[in-house]
Amino acid sequence: MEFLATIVILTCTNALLAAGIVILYKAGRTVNLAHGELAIVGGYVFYSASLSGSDPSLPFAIAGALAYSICMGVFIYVSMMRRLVGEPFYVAILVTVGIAIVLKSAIIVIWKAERLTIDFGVAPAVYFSGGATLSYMDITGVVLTIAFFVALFLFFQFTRLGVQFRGTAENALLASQRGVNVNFVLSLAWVIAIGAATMSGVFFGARAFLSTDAVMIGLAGLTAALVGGLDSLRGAIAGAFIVAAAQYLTVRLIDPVLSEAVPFLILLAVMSIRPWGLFGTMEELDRV
Amino acid sequence: MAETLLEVRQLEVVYNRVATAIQGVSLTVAAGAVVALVGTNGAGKTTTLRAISGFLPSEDAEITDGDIEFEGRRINGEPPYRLARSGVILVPEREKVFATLSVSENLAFAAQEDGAITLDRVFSYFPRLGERRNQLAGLLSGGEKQMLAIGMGLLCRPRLLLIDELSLGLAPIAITELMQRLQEICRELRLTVLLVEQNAYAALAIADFGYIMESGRVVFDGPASELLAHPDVREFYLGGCTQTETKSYRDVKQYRRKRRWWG
Repeated sequence: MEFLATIVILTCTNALLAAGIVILYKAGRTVNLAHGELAIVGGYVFYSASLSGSDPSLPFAIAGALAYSICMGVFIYVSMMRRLVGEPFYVAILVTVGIAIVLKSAIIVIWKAERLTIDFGVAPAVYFSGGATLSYMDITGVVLTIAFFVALFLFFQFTRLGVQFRGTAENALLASQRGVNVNFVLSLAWVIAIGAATMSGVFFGARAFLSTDAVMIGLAGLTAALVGGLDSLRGAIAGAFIVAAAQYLTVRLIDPVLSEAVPFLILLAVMSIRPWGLFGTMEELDRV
Repeated sequence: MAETLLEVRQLEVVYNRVATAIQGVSLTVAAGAVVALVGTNGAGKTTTLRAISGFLPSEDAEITDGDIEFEGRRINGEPPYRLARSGVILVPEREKVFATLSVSENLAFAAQEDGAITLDRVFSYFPRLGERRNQLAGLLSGGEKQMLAIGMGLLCRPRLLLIDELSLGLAPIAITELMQRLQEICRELRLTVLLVEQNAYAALAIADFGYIMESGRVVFDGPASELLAHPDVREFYLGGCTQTETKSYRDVKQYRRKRRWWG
């Protein structure tokens, strides 16, 4: 049971990151290599915002994380990505590498690279034999991740803006000719992606700790997105599960040191057999 | 005399800052009229249309001279979505529908909340779209995609519909059917249309007025009926005959003499 619970929690963290990477790829053909940094900075902002008042405050923390997602998403798109229209795809990837370096520096400058655990004093909710526990924060993480994906599905399928989003992802020029403000849609993609990354960073920070090393979670997210298929949201969930299961089993059965290498072994295996990922489409990969 | 909806004056467009695609292009589209802009490949028709609809920056092209006025307002350099919201709707040459969305979603994408034309009305114009409303647009035939693109354009509350190469890749019978349907719709809705076509006969047959472009310039213009009857237009763009006449290979050779109107 503990085995399953841990894999589910890891899957949630990876799936939120992978979903953000997929959304950005679908919307603007950008492979974001700064997703781990965005997630961990989001976690730090959540932590710092919670301390704005005299006592740790969850509403302040949520408001801070929300403001961070919106401001950072709009800022990255408007100040950097919008200017790269028509440039080769690797320019945007290199820009995201630059963003990653700046954000990592920000963790050192602003938070002194302090190892922090997000703790709202909530007691462990479920005890497993052998002393393992599942906290209310973990359960909240799982519930919010499911809610996020359900909301995303409903948004894309049943709202006018969601349909416009899908159309813009396919053909931005045609969308703009149909009266859609493409810049608004692409900014929204960044906001949603960073929002998901921040959720992931917060859940990771609550279960483990925030630090400059924690940005490695971005690589697990990227692997999950690539394994599932860069243009598939359901692929993101499947990829996240595969990576999470592999990480857990490696830690438990082989050696914890290998846990960071295993996702990449899976990635190599999938890329050599099915380069467009498990649920991705072949022509989409041709554009990368 | 009908009110002028679109006026293009002495337009010049340069690609990549070096290649002049069109020069001194002037044309007028009156409200409620169907105007055809015809010419061969590379004449500058699509560039003119892209300049009007605000798509030049995405192709590293810019308007270096001239003015485009829509309803008396200068619209040079306005972004496509703003032009679309003010009623300048382009039905592009290629990639005119969202292939991964269903027919209904494509139409819903374009539909304006306060638009006079409803989804049902579009289905009444194009019953085949109604039959395939849940099908992915990418799986439609070429003709059905054109119908869908026109349907999307109609739902965008158009004041000026710009149609680029409606006949591209379609069988002659499908072109005839589509053009007739477009003419009926234009008459019923009193639509203003600027129709860009290589198929001069098909375009001039439903147009009120026509312009002929060559090498980036407008070389000839006049009422469509006069253009259809003009010997030079017949020789260079209509194969030297109307579609009902029969001619030998020698007779239909298009370039047996020089064009008279330029050079």
